[in-house]
Amino acid sequence: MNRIKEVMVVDDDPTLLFLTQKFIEITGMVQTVLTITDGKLAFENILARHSTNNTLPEIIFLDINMQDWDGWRTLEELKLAGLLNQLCIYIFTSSANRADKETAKRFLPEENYIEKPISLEVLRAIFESYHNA
Amino acid sequence: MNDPLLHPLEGIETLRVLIDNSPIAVYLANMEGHILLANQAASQMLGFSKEELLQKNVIDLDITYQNHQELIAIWNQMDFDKPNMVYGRHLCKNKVILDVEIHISKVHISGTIYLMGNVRDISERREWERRITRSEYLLNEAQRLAKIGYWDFDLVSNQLTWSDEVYKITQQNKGSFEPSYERFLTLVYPEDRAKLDSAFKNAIESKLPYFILHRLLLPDGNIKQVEERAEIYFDENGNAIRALGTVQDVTESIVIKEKLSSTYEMLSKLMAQVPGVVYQYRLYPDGRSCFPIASEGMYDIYEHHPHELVEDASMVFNRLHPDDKDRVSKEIYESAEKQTLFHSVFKVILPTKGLRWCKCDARPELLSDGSTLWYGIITDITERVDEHDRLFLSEERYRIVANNTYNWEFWEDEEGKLLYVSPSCVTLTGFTAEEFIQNPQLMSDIILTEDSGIYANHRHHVKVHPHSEKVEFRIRNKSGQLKYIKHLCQPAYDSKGAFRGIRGTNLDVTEAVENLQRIENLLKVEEAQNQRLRNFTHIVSHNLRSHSANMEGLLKLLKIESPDVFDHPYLKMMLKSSENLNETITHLNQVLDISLVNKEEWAPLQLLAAVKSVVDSVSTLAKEATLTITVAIDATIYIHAIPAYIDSIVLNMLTNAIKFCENSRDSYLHIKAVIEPGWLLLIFEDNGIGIDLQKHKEKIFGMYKIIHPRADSKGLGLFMTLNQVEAMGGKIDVFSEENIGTTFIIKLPYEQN
Repeated sequence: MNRIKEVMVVDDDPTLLFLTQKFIEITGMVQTVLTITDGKLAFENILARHSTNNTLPEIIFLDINMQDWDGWRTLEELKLAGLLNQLCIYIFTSSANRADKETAKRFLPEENYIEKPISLEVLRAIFESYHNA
Repeated sequence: MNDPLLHPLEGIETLRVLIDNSPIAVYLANMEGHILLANQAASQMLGFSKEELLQKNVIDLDITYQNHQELIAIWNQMDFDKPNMVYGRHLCKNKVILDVEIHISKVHISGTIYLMGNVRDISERREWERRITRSEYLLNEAQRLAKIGYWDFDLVSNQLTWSDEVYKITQQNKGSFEPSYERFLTLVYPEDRAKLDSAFKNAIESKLPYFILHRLLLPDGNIKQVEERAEIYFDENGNAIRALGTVQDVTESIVIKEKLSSTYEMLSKLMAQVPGVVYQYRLYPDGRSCFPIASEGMYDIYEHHPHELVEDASMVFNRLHPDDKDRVSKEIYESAEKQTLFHSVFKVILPTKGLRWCKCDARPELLSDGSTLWYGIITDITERVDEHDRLFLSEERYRIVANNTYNWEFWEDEEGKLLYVSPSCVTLTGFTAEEFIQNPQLMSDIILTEDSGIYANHRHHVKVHPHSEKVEFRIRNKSGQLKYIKHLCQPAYDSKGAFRGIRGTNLDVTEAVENLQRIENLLKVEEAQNQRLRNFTHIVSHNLRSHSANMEGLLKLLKIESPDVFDHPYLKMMLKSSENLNETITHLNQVLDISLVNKEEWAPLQLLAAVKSVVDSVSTLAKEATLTITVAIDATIYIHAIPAYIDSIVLNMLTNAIKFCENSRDSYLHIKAVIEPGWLLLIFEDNGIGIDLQKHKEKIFGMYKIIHPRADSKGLGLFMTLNQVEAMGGKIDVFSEENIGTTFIIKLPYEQN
């Protein structure tokens, strides 16, 4: 089975970043995990790589509630930059707000909305479906 | 008479003796006019003694002559060979002037010429002459004025004689027209000729005077109406010899008569139309009085006919109410004395109608005999008086009500002038009712400038639309306090539908407005607090969830990396607690969601389809539990609801029924929909294990209340269902009996269309 080359995790909570990175590594289905602590930094990273024709992360886990740019802002900017359709992004949130789930639909398929805590089963399913797609 | 033998004096003396005894007044004068002799008769006639007469000259006696020369000149012209007669006017001693006829003769005495006058008093004859002349003149004048002429027809000689006036009436020339019976007939209007001829002939036959009215057709084409009266005279043998008659031009009088009669008729009709009586009342100086003329309305007023009062008005006074009799008499005399307009209101007592009120107005006119004649009108004002009484009474009642009302009542007349302001305005404005009435601007003045537009618009609106909305504005009262006024007004109409101005009320709503403002402020504060609370809840739930998720993740990671550690029961418990915490937080978020429904989430949905899709989703579970689910919902029922809630509610009902099946019997769940006015009843009836409602009614819908402990029961289902139903404006009823079954009735607002 081909391993996924790169997964980007965007969250301002270091514990969660650590945990997510660990769980992804445990699956053994991903080569590199890039952790970024803010939406803006994530956007700049992606934009820079895109403009230099470098490879983009294959899967991105994006938190909603962040200090500077939140998940929505990040998605909005990516959409404006015309990058949203080239990326596989999962909203990864601790919010159980129905309103947030509805907002997410404006950017992503409904199944790309994942509630924390993360589990190995969910991660594996995601990676498998990525390969099958 | 020329006797040379006589001495002049002797001759005069002889003459004196001759004339002295003559009954005719005689005097003798010389050619100078000096009177030398006068007899007794002359003395008697003129009133002077003989001696006095001898002192006089003829010129002194006769006033016909201007002076002595005139007299001498006349005498010198006389031919004394013939008898001379002159008329003179002699002045008597008592200044009476006598018309005299004087026969003068010449007397020669001793060669001297004397003149002797025989004087006759002709005053009486002159008077008659004057009278005759005058009456002739008057007769002519009378004929002319009366346009009456007379004619004399000699039937023997067939000679017709006309007076001047007949010529005038017939417009014939006296010189050229010779009247005759036949010629006269040609002047008669052709149609009337036979009538006139037969009247004349009948009169001869019947020997009776006749009277006939006929027309004349005159040469200029005009037609005249004439009245002819005539009488025939007969001789001893009964032969008609003479006819005497008069002709009178009555054209004008007929026209006037016609006019008069039509005027009189019109006047009578008019008088009959006037309500009450139109009359003429005469008060004689001796106190008698009468109604010479009165319209038929007299009966309505006094129940006496006008003809009964033509000579005596006293019956009318007997009709006057005893209280008013003296006063009315006094007023009549006062009007007569001062010749001022008579105006009086009095009561009468009538045999049929009873007590009535009358009003009388009349204008007096003083007559030459000292009588006063009034022209006037009397009307029955009983109804007006009654109405006035009633009005006064109702006004009084209204006033009592209005004066004691708490509100500020007002009434404006048609021109916007305030007629009434209730005294209570002072408690609200500090200004008295009188101040408002005296100053029409006051109302506008006390209204706050910002609100003056509201009031002005409203005033304009009321005039155009009878039913206007009430308005609210603020005033500043006398002591400077701000007051909120609710102003209500509408046009007022009297019982006859006539516009009588505007009636209105000003209510003090200051307290109500201030209370409302306080409530609004409280609501704003509460809303803000709620918002903060919601934000807080979100943050808490989010952060709690993050941390609990992290904790759970860390424990799971630990379990993966060092599974041996989990042999320790504490760690197992810690992992379980962490999982529970996570789940609790998830539920908390769901509950929180219910209170944050947006309007946009409401949608119309077909109830049957909504229920069926949920039933299908649990069909496997139902089969496992051997539960038979039936759905009896009309496909035409659509409800306006939040689809996610309906799904959730139905799912919860279904899972409950599945969970709480009584396994010892064939389980069922019947789902029905019933429509009641305003409501849709969604009924879930099962034959499951049931609930002891006596025990659990209070907590059945509570959060985390688990009535039947089972592994998959979290105590959240019914709590969520109740919240969702209530969020859509509905209610839930539950009927249950242990071991028999449970029925949930979910009532949702429903509008049938």
